[in-house]
Amino acid sequence: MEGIEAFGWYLPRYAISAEAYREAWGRFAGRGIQEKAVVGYDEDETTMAVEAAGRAVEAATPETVAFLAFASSGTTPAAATVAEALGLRRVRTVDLLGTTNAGLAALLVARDVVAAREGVRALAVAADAPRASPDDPTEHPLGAGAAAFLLGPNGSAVLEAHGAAVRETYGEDVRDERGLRRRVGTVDMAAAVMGEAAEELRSKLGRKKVHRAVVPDANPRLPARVAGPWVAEDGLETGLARRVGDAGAAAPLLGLVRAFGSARRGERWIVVSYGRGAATALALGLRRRPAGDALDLDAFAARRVLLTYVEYLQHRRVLATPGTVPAVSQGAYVSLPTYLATVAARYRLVGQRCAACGAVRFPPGERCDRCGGRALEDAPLRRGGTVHACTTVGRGAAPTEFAEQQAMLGEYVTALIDLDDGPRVMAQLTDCTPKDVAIGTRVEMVFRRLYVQEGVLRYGFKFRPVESARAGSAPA
Amino acid sequence: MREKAKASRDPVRPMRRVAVVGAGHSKFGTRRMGLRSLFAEAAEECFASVDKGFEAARVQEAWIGSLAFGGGQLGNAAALFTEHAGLLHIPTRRVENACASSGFAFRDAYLAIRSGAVDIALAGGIEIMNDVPPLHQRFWLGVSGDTEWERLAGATFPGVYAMMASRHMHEYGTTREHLAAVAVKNHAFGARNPKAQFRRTCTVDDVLRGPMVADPLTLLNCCGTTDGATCVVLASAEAATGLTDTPVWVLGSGAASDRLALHDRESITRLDATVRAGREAFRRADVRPRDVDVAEVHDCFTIAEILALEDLGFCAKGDGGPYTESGATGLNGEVAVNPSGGLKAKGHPLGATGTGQVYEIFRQLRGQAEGGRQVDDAKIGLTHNVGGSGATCAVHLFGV
Repeated sequence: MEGIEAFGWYLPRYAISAEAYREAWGRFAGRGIQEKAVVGYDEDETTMAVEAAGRAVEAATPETVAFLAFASSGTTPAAATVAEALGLRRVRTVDLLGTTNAGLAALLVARDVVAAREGVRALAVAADAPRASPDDPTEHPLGAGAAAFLLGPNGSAVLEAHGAAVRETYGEDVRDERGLRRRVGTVDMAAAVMGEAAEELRSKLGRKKVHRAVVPDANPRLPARVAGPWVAEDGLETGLARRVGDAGAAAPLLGLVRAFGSARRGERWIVVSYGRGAATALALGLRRRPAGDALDLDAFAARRVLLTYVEYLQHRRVLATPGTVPAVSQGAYVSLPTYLATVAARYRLVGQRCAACGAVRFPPGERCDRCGGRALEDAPLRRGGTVHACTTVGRGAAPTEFAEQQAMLGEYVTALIDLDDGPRVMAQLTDCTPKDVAIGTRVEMVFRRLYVQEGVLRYGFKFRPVESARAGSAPA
Repeated sequence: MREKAKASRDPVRPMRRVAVVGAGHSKFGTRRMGLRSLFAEAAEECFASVDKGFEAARVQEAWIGSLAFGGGQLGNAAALFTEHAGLLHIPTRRVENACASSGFAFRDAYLAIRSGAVDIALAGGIEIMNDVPPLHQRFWLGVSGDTEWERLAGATFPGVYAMMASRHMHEYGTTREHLAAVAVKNHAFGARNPKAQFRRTCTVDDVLRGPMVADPLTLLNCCGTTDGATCVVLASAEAATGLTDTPVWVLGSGAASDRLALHDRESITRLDATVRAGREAFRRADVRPRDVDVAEVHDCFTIAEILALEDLGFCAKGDGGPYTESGATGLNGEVAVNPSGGLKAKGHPLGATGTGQVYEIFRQLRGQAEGGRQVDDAKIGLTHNVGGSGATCAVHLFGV
């Protein structure tokens, strides 16, 4: 039976507290939210999606994944980038953007693909980091996160039925010309439409018992309003937004991921989401717990790094002045074609193996360093390594591509890293402070925003200390 | 008669000795002048320094090193410089190997005379770095590494050398105090060199407590950005007799290259280009490191001087720090290193540094060093010029 086989998730390691907002603004307009997740300076919806999807797809061989849906309430398409970062080539992609309903919509589309074609797998990834103007109370509860589901023929969680409802609301998810949210409507509009969708689903389910309900709880009363009539109070999944904030299109999927940690076989759950006047309700039958690392919110909260309000604005690039880096490059310029020729190396650490003598090299080159041979085959390298040498780059020593990053975040660490598979690579370190890094520190590759050149954002690799990963959000 | 005529038309003559007969060096610093007049300043002093008199027109061919920092004059730059130095119409070219540009320009001129193709040649270098805003400077300071893989990892010049320093400290126990000792020595020299950019001395404490550029390199561990030009005249032994009674002979030239990117090198605590270039120069000159009285080495960062001492064979690998701290590289130590103040204190106009080092050795070996920086009884000198983080290196040995 087709359904969810595996899952992955990602929460940034940074967070900011309601208290920090109160100090800054005199109030915090996010009822029920204690803290919220914050995307780091070099992260965005795309990088979070890559990390979450990477974990979901660990369980499957890439060749069987035929479809990828990327969902976000943001407006930047990312499906192709995510596919490239996962090494998926022959894959049909779709970008579902601009609404917080997109996450569940992606899950349904992926399920339909799997149902229609035998043996294929499909990825549904939702990643979100909604933005609003800092002086707008709408901004206060906005958090971040990503979740990904791998759907296939051997589903552990099976999509049994769904319901939907639509109503023009001129709803709360209005954007201005900068793409920033502005609240227009009230939660009553959302609750009404969600209620209708849930009601339609319930009528399809008949008298079957619903054990749990996953409803985005950025407004802490919403779950009870939407699902209270049918699900016992202790079956209402709550507490996600309290720690993570409003994760937009990723919220319902993250809620599901969290619930998977305590799933019991035979249970039936409903998931309801809403965005821009459209609501979707889904019923899931749990045959067994899908494969993946549990999202333990308490463990996450214990390890996250709290930011001050100013640091928050720095990470979110709100304080960055346009034009810090000149619009036109001078010298030391990596053209787009040059950059893209090596994208497999930059996104997935794909090196080369010499067909003649077996020596492994990275980055890609023209001939084998050991024997001079010209026949080189692609060789994806393992992503772990050890710091061989490092330095903390202070002001004035950074290349101009990182001038804005340095202005926002200050000094950063660059290191020469001995990869576990042999070659040495130079990379920036992220998710750490200089005192976390020394010769011998274990590090792992991550996919991050690198820099903007002449208006084009380039992604590539950085490395983070393995300890940071454990201290942050991704599962150990 | 006929045999002599045949010999003069024969392009393949036996290898012959080459001497430096004149040298010029502009003031280094922030000069607020154009490329043409800056190069002319160095050329004028160079021609005037030839003992028995010299007209520019006698130069037959010129090699001029420059990175063309800032991009103000990238194409055909050499012709521009020579034109305004009184060398109109002579064959000329820009030589580029990052900071080793004029070291290689010198080698090319030397080889041309040695082979018999030319009798009198000019080798020089020039760089103007302080006429563009700091952000542009930072772009151009990062052009000599591996752009595709090192720069996009967030490393430029100081970052790369800082990594070498961190590894050297890890492998050999080199300390920040060792690094500082290099800066203290070189600034003490620079303070007495009227050509130098930086004329103030500093203490170990000053060095340690300065702002951090790239850990462990504080500001005083790093050379600054400099405007400057240098040039020297080389002549065959035959031509030299009519120009000076104290020629400074080029005893040997060595040069080498290495992998551009740090991550492609076997070890980042030695510069293989220096090791190979040094070995070749010493072999051709039939000289050993302990014979050298005075050396101008490439101290773009203090760690670079420590690596140079080891890679050239003045001390064992790993001992560069203690060797410096012991005073062995002071004015009257085993080998006086960077009595000009080096790149650190005299300045580092990228393309001009190589022949600037030759200028200092020329003056030292003729007893003409000013400001109380004269090395006693200097007979054999060495110059060591490196490009970027070590992708290229040229080493020359001189004797009187």
